[in-house]
Amino acid sequence: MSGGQAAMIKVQREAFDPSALLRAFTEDCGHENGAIVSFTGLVRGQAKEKQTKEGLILSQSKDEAGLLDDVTTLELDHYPQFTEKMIESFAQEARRLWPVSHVLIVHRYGRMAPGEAIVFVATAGAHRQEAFEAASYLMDRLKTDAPFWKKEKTATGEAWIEPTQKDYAAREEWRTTKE
Amino acid sequence: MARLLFLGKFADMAGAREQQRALPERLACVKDLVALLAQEQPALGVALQHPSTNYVVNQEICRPDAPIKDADEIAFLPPMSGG
Repeated sequence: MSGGQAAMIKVQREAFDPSALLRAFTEDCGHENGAIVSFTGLVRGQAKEKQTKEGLILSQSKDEAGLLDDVTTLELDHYPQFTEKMIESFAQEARRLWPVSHVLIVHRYGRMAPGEAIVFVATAGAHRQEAFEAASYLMDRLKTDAPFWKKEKTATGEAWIEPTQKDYAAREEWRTTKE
Repeated sequence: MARLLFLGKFADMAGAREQQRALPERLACVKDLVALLAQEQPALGVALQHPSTNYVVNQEICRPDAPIKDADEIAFLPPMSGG
């Protein structure tokens, strides 16, 4: 992260250390900012859904919790170059919508275990509101618009996971209120 | 030769993530190619024709009527989900 780049995007197979990323990001931002926000997304340990004879169980319905399987691995497919290009466009959009001076997005692909960090987003601005909102916006865009495809593996099988209605609603909210 | 890419669940359905193939001249646009693939693999065809599918030609998101030619990279993207 040198040369004063305003947006840095990394799509990588390797695991990363979120605290090391935040430390480097903070150093890179220098003294011009009053606010840095970071978000780390982890691979969840519980499957998002399960197909049973009775129907589909979704993790969002709390009363059915406990019936879902433990995730053994999460595998992410991506589209080299295009994935980076799309994420770059989200970062540019965030910088157009909020006065954030620095943006860092690190996203993994390949095979991951529950508890591992899968995504890291950091933003820096003069004040906290723009940093919070830009980070939140970036995560919502990543959830529904970033070219990744997730396959969840459990002891009983595997399933491709798609965004939830809640994810799409969060993305749509920005479209109507901010973009 | 065109390079066809099937991402995510489409790779499982197509039986391969990537396919090199010569495009017949009668294929003018993405929609024509999808129709040809649907003839060969009906279940894949239904999925590729679903409104949630994105078509990407040479790294640009395209409409179904986008023109294609034999040297193109044409990718089929199921609903995206990062984060």
